[in-house]
Amino acid sequence: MAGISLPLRSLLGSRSFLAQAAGYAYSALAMAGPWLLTSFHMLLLGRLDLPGITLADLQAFQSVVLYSYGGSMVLTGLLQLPAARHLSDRLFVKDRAAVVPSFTGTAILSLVLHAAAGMVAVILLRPPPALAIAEGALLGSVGFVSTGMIFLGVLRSFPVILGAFVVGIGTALTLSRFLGPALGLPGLVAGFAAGHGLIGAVFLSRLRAEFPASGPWAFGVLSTAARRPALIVIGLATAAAIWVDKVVFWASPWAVRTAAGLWTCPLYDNGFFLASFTVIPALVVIFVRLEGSFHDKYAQFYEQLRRGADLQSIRAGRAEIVESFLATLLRIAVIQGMVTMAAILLAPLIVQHLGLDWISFYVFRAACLGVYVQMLALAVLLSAVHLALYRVAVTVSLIHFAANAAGAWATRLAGPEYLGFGAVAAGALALAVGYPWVRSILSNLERHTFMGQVGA
Amino acid sequence: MHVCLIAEGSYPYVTGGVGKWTHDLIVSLPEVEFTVLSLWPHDNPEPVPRYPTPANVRELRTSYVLTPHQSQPKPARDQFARLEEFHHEIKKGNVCPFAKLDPRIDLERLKDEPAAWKLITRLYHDYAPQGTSFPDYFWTWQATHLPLFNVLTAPLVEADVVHCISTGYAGCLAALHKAQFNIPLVTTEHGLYTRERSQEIWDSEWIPGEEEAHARRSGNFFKGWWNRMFQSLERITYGYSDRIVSLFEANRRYQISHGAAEDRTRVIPNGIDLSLYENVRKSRRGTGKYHVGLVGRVVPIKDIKTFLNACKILADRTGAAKLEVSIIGPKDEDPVYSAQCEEMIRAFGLGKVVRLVGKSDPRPFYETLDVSVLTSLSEGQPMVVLESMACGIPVVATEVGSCRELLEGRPGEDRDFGASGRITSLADPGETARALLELRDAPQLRRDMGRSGRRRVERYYRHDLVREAYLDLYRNLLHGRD
Repeated sequence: MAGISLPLRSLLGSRSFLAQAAGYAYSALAMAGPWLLTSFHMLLLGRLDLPGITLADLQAFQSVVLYSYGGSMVLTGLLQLPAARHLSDRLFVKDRAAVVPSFTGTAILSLVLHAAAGMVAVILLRPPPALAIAEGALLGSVGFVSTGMIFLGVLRSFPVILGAFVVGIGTALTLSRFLGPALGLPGLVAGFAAGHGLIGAVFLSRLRAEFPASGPWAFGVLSTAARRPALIVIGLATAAAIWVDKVVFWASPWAVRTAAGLWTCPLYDNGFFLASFTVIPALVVIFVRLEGSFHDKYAQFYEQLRRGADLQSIRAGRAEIVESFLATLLRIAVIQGMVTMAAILLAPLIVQHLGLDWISFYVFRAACLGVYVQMLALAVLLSAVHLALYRVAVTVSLIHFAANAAGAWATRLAGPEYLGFGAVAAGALALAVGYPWVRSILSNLERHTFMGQVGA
Repeated sequence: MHVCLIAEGSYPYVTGGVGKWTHDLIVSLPEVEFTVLSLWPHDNPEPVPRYPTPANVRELRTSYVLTPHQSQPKPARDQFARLEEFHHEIKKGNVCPFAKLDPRIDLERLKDEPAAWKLITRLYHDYAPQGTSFPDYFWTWQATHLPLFNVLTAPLVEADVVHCISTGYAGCLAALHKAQFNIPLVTTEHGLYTRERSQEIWDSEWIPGEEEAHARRSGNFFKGWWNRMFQSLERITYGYSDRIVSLFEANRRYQISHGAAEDRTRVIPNGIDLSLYENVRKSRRGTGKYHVGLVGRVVPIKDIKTFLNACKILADRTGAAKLEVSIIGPKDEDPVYSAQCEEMIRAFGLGKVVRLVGKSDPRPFYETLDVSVLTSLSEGQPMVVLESMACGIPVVATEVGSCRELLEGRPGEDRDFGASGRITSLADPGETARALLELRDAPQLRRDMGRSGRRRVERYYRHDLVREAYLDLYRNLLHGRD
């Protein structure tokens, strides 16, 4: 399967400015493509002015998509890191025949989780049967797609992900155009669900075409999760931290209920949704650096250990990891800082152009700051996971989750002008805890590596 | 009198050799109370005692050298500084800092203690040749030190005298007793612990550094390290011992050359209870065949394969019908080796000649043996040779330990008793077979040798002499007379 790693490495390794720019653009597309396509779908659906589809239907549809994506992200968070680790382990021992069965097994587990969550939602919200079926289909298909993205992400098959999303979102848009006017909100949801089903089918077919299967399914991910329960906690807490502040505001007096029976808080959600587009540069830097320089230095370090290098060489290898780690953070701080600054300065124009209210203006500015520090914290967290510093990663992700919940609650009590600053504080706290901790361990990485193995 | 007896890898879990000697010593001294500290590698599987616990054993404690132990409370704050000082001093031959060591180091403390890491890396800088693999260094540090920490944190016994039956970990633990309670320390060595370990280390394939050593055209640093560690333990043991006992003169000389103070050394040979063999001697008879026996465990160090090769030559020259061979000793200690020996017997067509008896009382066999054989690669003062001599059986033995002394006598009066057997080279089945053929053809020589052996044992190697020697040793040390 063609991954982007080699072409990306080749582009980024070039001294040419154009090649470098192409490398970053490529990464941006890989990282943000599915997300941009989904947003594009929402935007275009509103512009299509479908007969029989009201603004309330569109808002309800957006809320269903929001809940499905949010719920699926949290549920998949349970499996994400164990599945990624399990697949990496299998690939490390060149067990290619384990890829498809592992994917199928993980997808089954994911579907069970999504089905259980969907049942609870149906019991609580009691949507009309047609809408319940469409929502259930959407939740399941999003869960399947999320699982596929874990596997294709580990396999570095970003072109497949992007291609599948192009086909799937295009199909969703086409189906929504016909099903929407005919069936209303359930039709819009069903069309979107079908598009995701198609994405999932493309994922599965590509995996099956590329890898021989040793069996129909395998649940090795469970044993990996049992061996390293920290991976479950990190994945779940990280995903939950992203959504917990939204949930707090969905339960606030400012929340509104859409025609789908779901509560949203446009005052908060709009600003954050808009601000979330600013993270693309930081995500690209994290991806490029973690996959590139940091990964290479890390791999070199462990190769030195494996080959039995002397202490001087091992220490030099560790110094390069530290340098790469600091350079990554610095690059995020600078690039994301510039983007955040620009977004804040342009906030009046953006908010005015989109016709949003003044509170969204404030929320947008705070949210831009929030995602800025969250990206730095995420870089620290992912570095910790990369280095298997699970105790650090668990602590940081749990702190981020708890602080984001508490911050949202506090700003809810403080008043609308403070909305978004809870997320800023939560990200800052996670960063303040995680950065010195990881920095300290990295500075003594050889000690932690060796002494951690004492008695093993 | 209360004696703390420290045994490593032997009593009460191994039969024969040192285990049997230790058991016999305890049983022969009913007026002394013993606490036995037994050092054993792992607690899984849990070792099974092979001897009934004598009535004068107050307690039997087992410490597991390779099993991580529970965390220890309140170690000294400068414990790693003391450890470093100890390392530097022991390199210079000074064993005194050993007494100041604080070995209360558990795995969790090692993992979390930056001072431990600093110590390891400083020692690496100080002692490892340039370019030495640090991962190999670290694992060797762990492999050499953790067992020591385990041993040194074993609960101590406040006895009147501490007596270790080897150097190594047992000697080190005994030295700690001496340092802690200021009680007399007696060290008895049957073989030479450090020399035996050295052989194992040079033969080992699991110790890293061979390629580097080859590339540098120098010795293997890691094998040297292991050797130096055991030599250090030996130096500590000798340094803290009040009396250092060996079984025969050659070993005493070795001990002196390795740091034992000459005036603290002495020889106390093994001894046997002659009354146990009196009836055997009187009941000795022929079987009509040439009956050759080897009493010993079926393990590589006894080199049973050389014995079987010798038997094959002997059978070819004697005729299978006129030859009987018995191998009397446990077969379960090294099942693979035992199976290989059984396969050799089948392959040589000696199935009707050679009998692997298994663990059994050898005395019924001594009644009919014409010659007793020992093909061991390493021994101290083998009891089986003394037993055979006590029964009046000539012995063919390899030149290991004190075998030459036993069979040919020490200079002086002992030598006048005459030869009680033949000495052969190690791992030389042809020479062993030639000695057996010589004795086959000379019944009178066998009788003369048997008589010489019997007289030698009666004069020098009696169990009561050993008993008296150790009792005197304990008493004199306790009362400061010796």
